[in-house]
Amino acid sequence: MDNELLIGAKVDNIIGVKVKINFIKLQDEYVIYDHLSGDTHLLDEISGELLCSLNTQEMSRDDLLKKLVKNFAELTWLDINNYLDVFIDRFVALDLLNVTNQRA
Amino acid sequence: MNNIESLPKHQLKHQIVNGLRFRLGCFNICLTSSIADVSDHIQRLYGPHQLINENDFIDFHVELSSSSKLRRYIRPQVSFYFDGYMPFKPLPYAQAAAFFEWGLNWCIANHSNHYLIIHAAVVERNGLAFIFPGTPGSGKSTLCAALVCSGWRLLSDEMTLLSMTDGKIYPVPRPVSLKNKSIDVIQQFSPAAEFGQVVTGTAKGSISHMCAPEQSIRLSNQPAVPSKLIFPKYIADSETELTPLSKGRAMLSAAENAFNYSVLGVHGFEKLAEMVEQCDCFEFKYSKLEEAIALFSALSDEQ
Repeated sequence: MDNELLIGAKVDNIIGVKVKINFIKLQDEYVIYDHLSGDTHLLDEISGELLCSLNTQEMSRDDLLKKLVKNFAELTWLDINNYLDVFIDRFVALDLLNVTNQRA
Repeated sequence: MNNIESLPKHQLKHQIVNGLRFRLGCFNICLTSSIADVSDHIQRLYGPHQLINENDFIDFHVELSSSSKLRRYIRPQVSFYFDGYMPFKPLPYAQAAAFFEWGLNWCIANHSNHYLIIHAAVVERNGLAFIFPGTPGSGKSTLCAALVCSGWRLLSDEMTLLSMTDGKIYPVPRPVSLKNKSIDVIQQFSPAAEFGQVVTGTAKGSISHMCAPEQSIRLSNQPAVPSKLIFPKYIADSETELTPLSKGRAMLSAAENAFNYSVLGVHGFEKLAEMVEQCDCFEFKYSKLEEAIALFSALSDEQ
């Protein structure tokens, strides 16, 4: 990586689903269907909301954070950051999400 | 068209040797066998099933036959054929009747993708289907047998056929398969229930089949609406306990219990989601059948 190019530049991750996901909200949980693997997953409400948003359009990590802060104001900033990291890691590992670097 | 029970024993035997064609819920079966245990099994447990015409389409051609000549004398065996193909290794000859039931389960589970097939007992009362998914040993067949002996309609003790078109559950009322202690439990619970022979030494232990009620067979062209999705667990000496289960978790468990969920892909997901949305979902612990039946009867009366 060319360090000079990074000076003064903000690096953010763009996150999106690999393929469209089918989902259903059942009470306060989401059940999603992964077309690629054929697997079905059970998600809590927060993860479900995030994944549904990403199913509609790609979002930057910052945008996801803002969305979480806005929708889940009762959580602390640290909790939200940790939650988002776990969320992204989980769904990248499941091959459902793509993360790409972008310089702003 | 006549029922199987209208045939005298010798004629039934003759027809089975040449291919007995009969209706089983939403399927047409042609069974061929010269094994006496198989014709006895059909005579005792399939009496009310309707015979069908020579020209009717057959969904499953199945045959049970004894193995080679040598095998007739040394540890005799029986083979199961589906469309002339042998999907399983032969079993001991004494298990021929049970092999017919297991083989037919396999035929339906593997060749009926116009249904989402959940490994679950399903019974109906007041037009509403109660679905009991469960792994072997969970007590679903025992519970199903007791409910059926108490007046509930049997749709199936083994496979819930959820239509991919109208989302209703289609009956395939066959004999209820009971294992080991469950055989005595149901014989004591309902002394009038008719049973086939007890087959010992199978991979599942001792097996016997309880006859499906005549009324359930007569109504086998009438589907039912899914209403309750209940995951039973028999625990010796436990209290009767019905606990609400989240629909999300219930859907995941039902998907894990479906034979062809992966085959149907997203269509299976959507149909299962539709079913779970319209069902109340529970976990159920029990040890006393009388209490279980009283509870479910009250639940079906509430609707």
